[in-house]
Amino acid sequence: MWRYLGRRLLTSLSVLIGVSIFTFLMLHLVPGDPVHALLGRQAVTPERLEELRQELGLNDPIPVQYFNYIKDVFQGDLGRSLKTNRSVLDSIKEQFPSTFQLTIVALLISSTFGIFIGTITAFSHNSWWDKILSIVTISGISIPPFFFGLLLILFFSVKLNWLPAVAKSNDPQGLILPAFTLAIGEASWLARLVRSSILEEFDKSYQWTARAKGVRESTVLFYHVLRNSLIPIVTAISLQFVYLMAGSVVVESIFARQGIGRLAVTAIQNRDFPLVQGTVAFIAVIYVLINTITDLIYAVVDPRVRLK
Amino acid sequence: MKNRKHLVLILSLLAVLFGTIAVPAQSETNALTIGISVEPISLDPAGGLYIPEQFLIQQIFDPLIAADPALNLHPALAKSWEVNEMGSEFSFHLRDDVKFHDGTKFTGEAVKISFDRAAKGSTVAAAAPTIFYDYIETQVVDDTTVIVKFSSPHATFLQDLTRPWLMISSPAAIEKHGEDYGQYPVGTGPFILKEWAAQDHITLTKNPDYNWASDFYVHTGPALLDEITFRFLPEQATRIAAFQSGEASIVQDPSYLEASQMTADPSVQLFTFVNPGMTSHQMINVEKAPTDDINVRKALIYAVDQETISQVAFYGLQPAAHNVISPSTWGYNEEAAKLYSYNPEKAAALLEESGWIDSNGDGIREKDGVNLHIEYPALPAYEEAFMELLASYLQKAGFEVNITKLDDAGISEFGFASKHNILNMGWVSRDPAVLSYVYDSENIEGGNQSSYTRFRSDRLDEILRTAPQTIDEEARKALYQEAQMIIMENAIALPIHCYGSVYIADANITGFRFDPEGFPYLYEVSIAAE
Repeated sequence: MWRYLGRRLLTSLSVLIGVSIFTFLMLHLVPGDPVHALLGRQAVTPERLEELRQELGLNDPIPVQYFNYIKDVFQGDLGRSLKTNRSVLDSIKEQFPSTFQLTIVALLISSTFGIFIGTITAFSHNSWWDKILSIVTISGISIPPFFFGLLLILFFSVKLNWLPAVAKSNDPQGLILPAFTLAIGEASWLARLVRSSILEEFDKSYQWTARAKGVRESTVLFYHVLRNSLIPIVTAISLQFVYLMAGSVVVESIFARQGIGRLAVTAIQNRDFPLVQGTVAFIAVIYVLINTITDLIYAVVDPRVRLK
Repeated sequence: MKNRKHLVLILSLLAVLFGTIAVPAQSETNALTIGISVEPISLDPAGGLYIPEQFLIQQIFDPLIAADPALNLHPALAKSWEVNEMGSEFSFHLRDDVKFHDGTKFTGEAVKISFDRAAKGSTVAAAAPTIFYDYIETQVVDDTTVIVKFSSPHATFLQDLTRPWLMISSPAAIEKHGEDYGQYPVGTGPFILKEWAAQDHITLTKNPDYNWASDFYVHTGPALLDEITFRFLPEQATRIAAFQSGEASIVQDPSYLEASQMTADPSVQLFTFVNPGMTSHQMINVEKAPTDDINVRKALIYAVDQETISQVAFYGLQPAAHNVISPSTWGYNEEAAKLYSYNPEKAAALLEESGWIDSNGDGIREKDGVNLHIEYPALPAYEEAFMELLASYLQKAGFEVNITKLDDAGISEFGFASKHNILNMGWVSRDPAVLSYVYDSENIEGGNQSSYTRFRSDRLDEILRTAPQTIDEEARKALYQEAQMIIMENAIALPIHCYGSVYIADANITGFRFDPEGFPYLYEVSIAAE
């Protein structure tokens, strides 16, 4: 077990190093001078441009720039945004709680609806219910969140005036529409997964053995079939957390909410190096952390994994 | 029995759920929410760059001198002022009854510290240093007298003073917050910063001590609103939704389509303003073929119908432009604007005169086997609405147009390498002095490298360099009128549209009027009782 743990953590670390090198290089490979990108169409003299390059350390060789960056990160200094001059670490601390809240609520919604609808459709396989809900879930997977979000705003905020469209990020009421917008795709996808996973278990012979032993039908369904089919679903849900975090970028923009995804996107548009590096590294850490935890739980639950 | 328990549980859960989904709380009568499109980067006057900073800084800070909508100057923090004969030294006599939001007193020292910072700029893109290019120092004579010195005559300084970039900050607050001052600005203005939640909102509250409003305002004493929330809503669709759901009572930059439809609705007020400064125009490269030929350049201008572009792309809310600067700019030259108007026949005649004829019937004119080709690098952020339409007008006239979509940095590189035939430019500014940034030939290779026409004219350069130092107003105006004429006669600018400020507001918003750059004076705004 400990050897597995060590191996797993080593992999995670190398992923993080890879991510940091990649984001660093990517910004340097994009065409155009970063100083120009920063200034937009401002009128500045070449002397000032040179001064800025000096200030930002852009004249150093790229490996030196990378090394300086990593050194600062280990000292807990993610630098300051080039555009706003705000501390990158403070910005992340300020923006992340909103993304986390949104992701957790969306995850609750998507797992509840996903498992519920998936179970109903599987148990009522090939009935009208199954067909109608299948159309609903396939639509749910297909509808783009930016469109769905606007529909929700139009209906619940503009027409009915029940829910705020653009509540401030700390207003819990304002969480409802964004969370549903974010959750619909994942909920639908999960419903499909649950349905097929249960149907797969239906074909297995252990349940015939159970029935032959005289076990009640409801016990066969809920204790044996549902339980066994939930194994892949648990993994799916933990992965969903990561997908939802990625999806929050779009939802945060539509509902004008605070969030780490929007912070990263704006930073990329502005070529705000320190902010891009800081946010991407932060998101990568979260991603790797969740994947590692999932794998470790899996290893505890299923001995086959750690023996491989 | 067991089932009924479940039912009770479900019902109570539903009750809780719907309890939280109550109707959004009605805003307090004297608090206003404004939906704005872009979040400011810094509220430090010495760090601000553009529209969002300007709008907010003006509420929190006061200038030494204020401008009314007609550009007349009025005393603000300075009670009076004198200029030396050369126009390079300005003395100001300051009020001594003014306090900053942090309780410290406003003195000459604050002016010095604010101007010294403005000359350097506190963010990389700050607008202030550009204004203060020839600043020497501010001399504090005593608490209520300062002298500002420049190395050359500085004709625009008094007007510049009314702009947000030169408003006065509290030295104590600058000292206290250091590098973070842009997030904790402290001025003497009618509103005080209460909180700033990044990517979300900024809230300002009324300054109860405010008693030094300039004399052209319609009232004195503190502002009429108790609180203003600026909500950052980058998506146009969301901005409109926020207005329709009543979550914002004023919205900046609504979608033009929706705004134009709302004009008929009595519960909505639409406010528009034509911004001064350079219009959104295409700078035409005189060094790259085929636009090195003046006939081709003139044909480009005759081929484009700006009126239709304005209607189709902007529903008329960004008016058509016919000159390199907009009609609301001081020193606008009506004659230069009359030189060209949409005339496809004239465009065709000019092109034929230069030998560009469509001999193979593919709709594109050729000469010596070369197509009449236009390289058009476009920045979708500014040109999305009209770039295809512009290209189609040029194609109709027989041009072959290649649009390359780029970002700011890409455009600058493309333009500096002289790979373009046309390239979009525009600059909102109070004064035509802004023309020198992109029409002084010094800026082709050196300077800011933004003179994308690559046009060299000794007379134009001379005008653009001497006018900012010409103190006599009439003489200065004549110079800029000549500059506009040179630019348009040489056909190096293809005007497209003027920039316009567009706001929609609820019917009960009163006291809304624009300052000289198209921002409402929120100090005068109030909410009428219904």
